[in-house]
Amino acid sequence: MTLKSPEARAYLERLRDLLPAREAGRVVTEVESLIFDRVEAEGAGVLQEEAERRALAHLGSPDVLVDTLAEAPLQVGWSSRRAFTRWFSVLAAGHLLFSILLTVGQAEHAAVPGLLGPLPLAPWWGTVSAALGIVLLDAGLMFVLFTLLGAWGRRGGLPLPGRARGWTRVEALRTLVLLALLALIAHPLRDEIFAVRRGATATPFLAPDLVALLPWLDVVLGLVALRALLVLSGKADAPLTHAIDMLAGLGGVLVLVLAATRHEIVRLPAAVLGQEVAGVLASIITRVLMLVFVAAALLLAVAVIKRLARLRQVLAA
Amino acid sequence: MPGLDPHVEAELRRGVLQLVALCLLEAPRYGYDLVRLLAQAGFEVEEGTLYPILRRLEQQGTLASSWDTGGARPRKYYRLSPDGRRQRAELALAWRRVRDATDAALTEVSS
Repeated sequence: MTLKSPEARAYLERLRDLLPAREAGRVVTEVESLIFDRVEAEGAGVLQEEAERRALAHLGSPDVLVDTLAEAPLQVGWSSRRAFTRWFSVLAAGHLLFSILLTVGQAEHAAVPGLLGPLPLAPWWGTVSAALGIVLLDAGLMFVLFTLLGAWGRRGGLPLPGRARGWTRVEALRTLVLLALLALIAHPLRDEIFAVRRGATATPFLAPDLVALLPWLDVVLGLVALRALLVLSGKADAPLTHAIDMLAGLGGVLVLVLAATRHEIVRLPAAVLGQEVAGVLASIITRVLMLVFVAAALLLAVAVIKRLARLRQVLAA
Repeated sequence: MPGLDPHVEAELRRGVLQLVALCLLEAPRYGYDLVRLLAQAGFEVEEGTLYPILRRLEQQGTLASSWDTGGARPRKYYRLSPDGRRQRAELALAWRRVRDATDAALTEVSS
């Protein structure tokens, strides 16, 4: 027996595209079998194509199905590792980027002693060791964080920006803690952390253009916090919670697009590097960051579409 | 006066869906068969909802599965594993505790 309708074949293709390679074959076979079962049971007197289309309606959207499978509490090992890898990649990439910024800005002191500072430029193996040290340090920090939060070996891990599934109360609480940390970093500690230190002076390197976007970022984080509070108050699956989740995602996309279209994202100390060198380096770093922001905006836009689908599902239910 | 929101009852049923499914899986059953039996038992559920649950339970070791290749096409059967039986007993205990507590609260209101 083979599938006859293009919709059913497209459905399975979509599943195959969305699933990790090692899971795809098995899940697609099983879902195909579910379609045939429904066609056999209810397809009498109906063209097979039509029966297949009806069977698909009982499966829902392939995106939502894959999302549910990926978030299934018992697919834990896989999703935990994925959450760990994502958070570790983001942390290590950000950490390395800031270290490079401090290095090219010729900072003399660490921004956060022992954690965030310029890389040594000589000898070469000193630079390599320092970069490796950052990666190992971040891996260790993430491992401790995951262990402390009880996420290792259990479901999901830390809440991820792209999730369409609703949060649990524990995840909502973790999110509020993370948001509080972000607010601290973005406001009172901003000029302490994102600064090149030489002697007694600290020169902030975030460009005013980027800093001007902070109120918009605050609005987005506020929406995320509101969603977390709604989840904590037992309204995890309420349409309002899903609507706020979608709005927060949409706001995030807008902020990222605005950030990617700034004329200047970082400003390196010209007094130390010279006007021309500082300008060229800042321009290169700005372009790299623009690419990062655009990629992040695209990924978040996909997540927003998933959230919209989820909202429609909740409203329809 | 408006009647009970049907979503409320659906939510209540969703809470015990796993336990009912585990009861039905004492004998080997394939996905659509289980959907049909659940519907007969008053638990309407779509394949798109049930399949991730079955897969999750299978990965957890609560369910065992096997492919029957004897028919016109292969069909996957699920059945409760020994570990699943223990989990079902625990779930049943939890369900009875919830039910008794709810009954007690309702009795108090009606007396």
